[in-house]
Amino acid sequence: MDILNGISQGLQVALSLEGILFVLIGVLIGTLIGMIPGLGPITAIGVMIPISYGMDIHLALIMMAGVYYGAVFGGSTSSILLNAPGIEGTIATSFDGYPMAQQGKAGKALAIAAICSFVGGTVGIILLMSLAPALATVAIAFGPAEYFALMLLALMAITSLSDGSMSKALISGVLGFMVATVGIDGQTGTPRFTFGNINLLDGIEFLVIGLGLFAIAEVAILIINRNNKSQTKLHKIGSLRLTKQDFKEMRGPMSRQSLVGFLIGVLPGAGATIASFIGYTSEKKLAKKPEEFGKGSVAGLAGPETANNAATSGAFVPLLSLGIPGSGTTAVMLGAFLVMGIQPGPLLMTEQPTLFWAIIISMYIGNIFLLILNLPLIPYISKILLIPRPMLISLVIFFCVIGIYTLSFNVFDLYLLLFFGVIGFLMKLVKIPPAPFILAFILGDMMEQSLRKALTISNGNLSIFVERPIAMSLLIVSLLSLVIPPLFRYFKRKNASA
Amino acid sequence: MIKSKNKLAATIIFVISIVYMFFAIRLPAYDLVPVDSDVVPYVLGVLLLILSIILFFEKDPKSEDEEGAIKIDKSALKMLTFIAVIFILYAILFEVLGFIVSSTLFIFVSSLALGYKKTMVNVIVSITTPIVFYYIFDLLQISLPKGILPFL
Amino acid sequence: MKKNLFLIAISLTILLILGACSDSSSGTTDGEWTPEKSIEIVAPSGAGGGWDTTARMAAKVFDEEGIIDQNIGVVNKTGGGGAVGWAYIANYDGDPYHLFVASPPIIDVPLSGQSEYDHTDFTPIANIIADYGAFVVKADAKWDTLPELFDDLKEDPSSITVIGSSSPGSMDHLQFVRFAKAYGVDVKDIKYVSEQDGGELTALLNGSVDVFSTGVAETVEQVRAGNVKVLAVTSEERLQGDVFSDFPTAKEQGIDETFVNWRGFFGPPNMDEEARKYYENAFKELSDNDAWKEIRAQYGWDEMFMGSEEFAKFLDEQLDVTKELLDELGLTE
Repeated sequence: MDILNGISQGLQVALSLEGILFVLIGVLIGTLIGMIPGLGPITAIGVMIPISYGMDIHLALIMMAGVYYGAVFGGSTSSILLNAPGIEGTIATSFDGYPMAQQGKAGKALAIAAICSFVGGTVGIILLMSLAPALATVAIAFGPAEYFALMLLALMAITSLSDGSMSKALISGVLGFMVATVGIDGQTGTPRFTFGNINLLDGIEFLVIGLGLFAIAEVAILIINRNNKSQTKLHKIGSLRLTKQDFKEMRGPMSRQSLVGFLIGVLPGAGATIASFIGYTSEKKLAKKPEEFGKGSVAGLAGPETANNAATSGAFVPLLSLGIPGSGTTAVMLGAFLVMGIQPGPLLMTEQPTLFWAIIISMYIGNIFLLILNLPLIPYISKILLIPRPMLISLVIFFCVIGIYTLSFNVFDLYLLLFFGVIGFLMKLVKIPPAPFILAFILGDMMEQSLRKALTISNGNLSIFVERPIAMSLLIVSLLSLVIPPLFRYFKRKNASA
Repeated sequence: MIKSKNKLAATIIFVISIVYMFFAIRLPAYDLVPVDSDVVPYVLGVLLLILSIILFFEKDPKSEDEEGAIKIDKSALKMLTFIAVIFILYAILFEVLGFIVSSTLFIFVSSLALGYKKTMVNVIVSITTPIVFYYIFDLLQISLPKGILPFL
Repeated sequence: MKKNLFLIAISLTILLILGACSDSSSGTTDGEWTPEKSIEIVAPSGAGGGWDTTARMAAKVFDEEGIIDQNIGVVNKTGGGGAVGWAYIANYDGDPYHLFVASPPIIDVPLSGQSEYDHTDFTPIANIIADYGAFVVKADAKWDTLPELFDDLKEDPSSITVIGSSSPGSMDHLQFVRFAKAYGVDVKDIKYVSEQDGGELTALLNGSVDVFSTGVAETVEQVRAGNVKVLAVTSEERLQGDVFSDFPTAKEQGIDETFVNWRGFFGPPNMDEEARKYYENAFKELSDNDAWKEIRAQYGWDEMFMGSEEFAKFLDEQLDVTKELLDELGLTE
């Protein structure tokens, strides 16, 4: 009865004129900052906290939630059009989204991204609503040992991110991991590989690497090819319309990844980025034509785009049901709750049912808004590709500079951006794929720290990974994921030849 | 030429792994944890070392290399260097001249250098875009460097 | 094309001259100093963190309550646990239009050799608020008081793990070590893990670790839900407020030690005496302001005003205590 009461009051808030207005403002700001490479939801929500001080708490939180999932929704745009990930969670989107746009199908790519984001987000909310209390226990089952095992499993994806040479994919991964070790070591406080430079003490920002390796390296290619007449396809946007065949190819990834992405999002610390990588690699493993991945595959775009939006909904589970932030953005959201005089935590659902339900219901509305805002905008936004090459190149660099500068307000990061741009370009020249680099960079730090935390706790005893069932089973799965695909291929070939 | 590309890359990566391990050795010890901060770097360094050797002796798949190879001629290299140099100037002047002025200069010069012919359009775009972004961020209470513009 | 370049060059020159003119103003001629242009407060961290919120809220109240007439902007300088921001401010030697917000890291970060500037390089203006730390264990843990925990720690140090958000040698670690030392525990025996991805509470709740060293505000909700219990808070006296007042201090359990997570404002090196006085008064006015009191209550911050002189003395004391701890841990340069 209480729940029904809460839902009806939540509905009243979320469906009131102000409620709808603030959802709209939130998702609008979110989509916009998502589209600008670099400027992410953390900064946007961070600066909104003081602005919204004194506002109605329901409305303020509805708006901030809108900024968060709106940013993940909009982040795919610059990944697809410019190979410049708008936010962390959309880097895997560019693997197939950018090639698709290069083939003159930008409209289709953006439409697929919008639809998959909508489906992922909405399924995520349904799961959030129905499973939040039950999943809360899952979210806290993960300690350092479990995280280490999970990161190891995710890292196994590197083997499927290679195109051609496996040794090159692994080199790329190890290099990414090495870059992740730069900065103050969490467990000892020792500065590592900083060369006495204070700007490196906090380590290197993800987006510096993401934009350098992907966007700036791509800019270099554009500069080289700027007079190349054969590339005129770029100046075509193509139709938005999706064929029956497209929908058929999207159906599988959408249904699988909205569930998987959501579950990964629930785990504190994992979040949209890891969800989208797992979404990409698992779809590649399942695909009938994995060789199309990286060359504009529909499934390769649908997988990560569904997964990252579902993960965003999932990240609200530990926040709303436990008061535990699962990501940088939800940590800032937690701060926002505190300012409003609300302590999100185990008691939120019973003590603040109106707020709880108002946020969830507003997320449905927000996702619908995002879809109807984004779809009609596609033809206009993709006109960015019609900008003459020289101007487009200058503007892409300009966007990257804004994005990187507003991360830390430190000019040093701009030099780092250029540095990683050069690295990315050199990697392209010798055909070392950048995807394993970025994946290992994301996972590396957390994996190393979890490993060492677990070993500190167990006084250096490795049995901690075997004694804990979740950690143990994750380790077995990662071992299997390494062994099974080659075996599978072997038997397949044998059958075919027989 | 194509054949030696992988070998060259392998050699550079070999050197990187040595340099990385050299710095790992010099990390100070901290006694209060069972696994110190240099352990994982050693593992990574050795892994990279082994991988670079594997790459060095790996055969290049010739047919694939031909089709996707990026060709850089002299003029392209010149242009890349030029853009990199003005990017560095942009970064140096970013906080000195301020966001608007430095961005305007960068967009204008870079577009011009890359062969954008419509100078009037270039002037308008390179002046208005940074101004628009400055005020969007201002609205969000994020202050970008004002620099030399006195009226901001 | 050339014509356009020429035009731009001319307009730039004009801008440069204008810029140079506007800089030449100064207000220190007659005794009373007042700001004559906009003021910048640096938060040496990203948006949304503790430093950033304090700075933005202070700027907001200064402006809305008319305490300072000039426009105040908050600028984030992230990196090095504050070191990047401090290096930035150190460039503005004597400039009365740049302030920054600081807290205990400005003591411990330089001590561990990660910043060439420490608090003595800057001009302390005023401290305004304080937070306190808490030591938290699971609700069904066998310890009910801090001495019980410390006794077990003395007996079998390898069985107890402490978790916190900061790396060894900074806040969460130091506050725990400080109290353990006061009770006679060998600080080298304490197993500490640092969790920087937000999983501290999770690790405590699922039993991976035993003690969570953190700020008081972070724990309240979990206490109310009956998931955890607070063994002790680090303040001198019990805190005010609903759940807060139930938390025992370490002092009343016989451990004579306190830890304050203070937050105050500094100016650049060699700030003018008159300007310093002006800001000191402004912060005093802020601290007594009703709107500020409301904000303080909202965030669970305690009032802790210290004028410039008292603040400087307090900082020197903190430096001595912290240095001794870090030396013992082998964490100083």
